[in-house]
This record gives sequence, structure tokens and C-alpha cells, in this order.
Amino acid sequence: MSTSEGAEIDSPLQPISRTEDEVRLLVDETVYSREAVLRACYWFTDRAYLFVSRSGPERLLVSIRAKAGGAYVDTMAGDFANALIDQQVRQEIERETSRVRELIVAKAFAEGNLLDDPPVGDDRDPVEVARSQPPGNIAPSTHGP
Amino acid sequence: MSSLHRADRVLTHDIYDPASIARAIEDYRPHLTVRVLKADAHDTLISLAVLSGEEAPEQVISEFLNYALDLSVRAILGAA
Repeated sequence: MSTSEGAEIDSPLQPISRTEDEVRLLVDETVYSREAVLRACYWFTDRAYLFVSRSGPERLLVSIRAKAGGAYVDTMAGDFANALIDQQVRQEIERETSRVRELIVAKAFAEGNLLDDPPVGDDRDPVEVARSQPPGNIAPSTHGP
Repeated sequence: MSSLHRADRVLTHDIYDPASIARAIEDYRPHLTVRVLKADAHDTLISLAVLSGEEAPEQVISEFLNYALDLSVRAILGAA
């Protein structure tokens, strides 16, 4: 890929070749994880023929060929690139929010009396924000009565 | 049995796990002859030959590779 001045753009996802029925995308694994590539591929195996090879250290080459009667291969390649971003973002959000999710699930089980230890706090403060704040700094509850 | 179409492919184990490759080879035995030319810790080099009588031999190879990929994703990531 190049600009109008001819300067190279170092994109993490580059179409390196295109024929009438096949596009090859070079994927930079420092940007898109192997897991994101695998999940994106899994989404597309019903619509396209895919083959993934290693073209160098931290570089995967994804060949995408539309199945008969499918979408144009350019559309397919664009959709695949979007799926790759989608999967990578999901992974990063999952990693960033895993601790909060664990706390919410633990709290839910505790309030259902499914754990040996009694739950702390109450349902108005499921992650105990109030307990970490000084008295008088707690917003009034919107729950009844 | 004579073959109509041949292709060689390097399957990297980062993406295609060896057990899934073996199962795909077994499941496609009625349609394809697959020979493992070389296998090490990182890659498996296979030679695919579509059996005579199969229509659209390139498509059979593509279907095989998709199937191997599908099995591998399930094996590597769990049910995706």
C-alpha cells in the first residue's frame, strides 16, 4: 500500500495479492493475536475457503476464496478484516474487565446462598463501591420502598 | 487409482494442530489421498491428490483445508 507520494504505509493488515477469486491478506501478529485470527477464520469457513500459512516471524498469510455463489471476494476480504478487528477488541475488553466480571459473579452466587460464606454488602452496592468511600459520600438509593 | 489434481501445502501447527490434521486426513480418505511428506514440531508438509471421479478437484482440496482449519480452531480454542 502506498500514499499518492509513493511513501510506504506500514499497515498491520495488508492485501498482498488479489486474483479474480482470491485475496491474500498479510496479518501482523503484534497487532492481531493468533486467537483473533483463528476466531475470525472460524466465522468465515461457511462462506469462504480459507488457508492460513506463516510467511515469517509474527506474520500470518490468510488466503480467502469466496465459495461458489458467495459474495465478491473483495467484500469477503473486507468483512474478514472487520471480523479480525472485532475479535481483537473483544479479547482486549475481556482482558480489561475480567476482574470486575469475576466479582459480580461471585457476588451473585453469594447472594443466592450458594456459598459457605455470607455475602457482604447488599444488592444496592454489588461491588461494594460504598464500602471503599468515606461516610456521607454515598449517593441515595433509588430502590424502594 | 489415478489422480487428477495435486497440491502441496505446509500446515503450521500454530494454526493447524496435528491431531486435527490427522482426523481431517482420515475423514477425507474417500475423496483425497493425503501423504505426509514431512512433519516436525512446527509444521506438517502434506501432498494432496484428488481421486479420479471427483468433480471440481480444487474445490475438494479447499473443502479439506477448511475442514482441517475448522477442527483445529475447535481443538485450540475449545468450542468457539
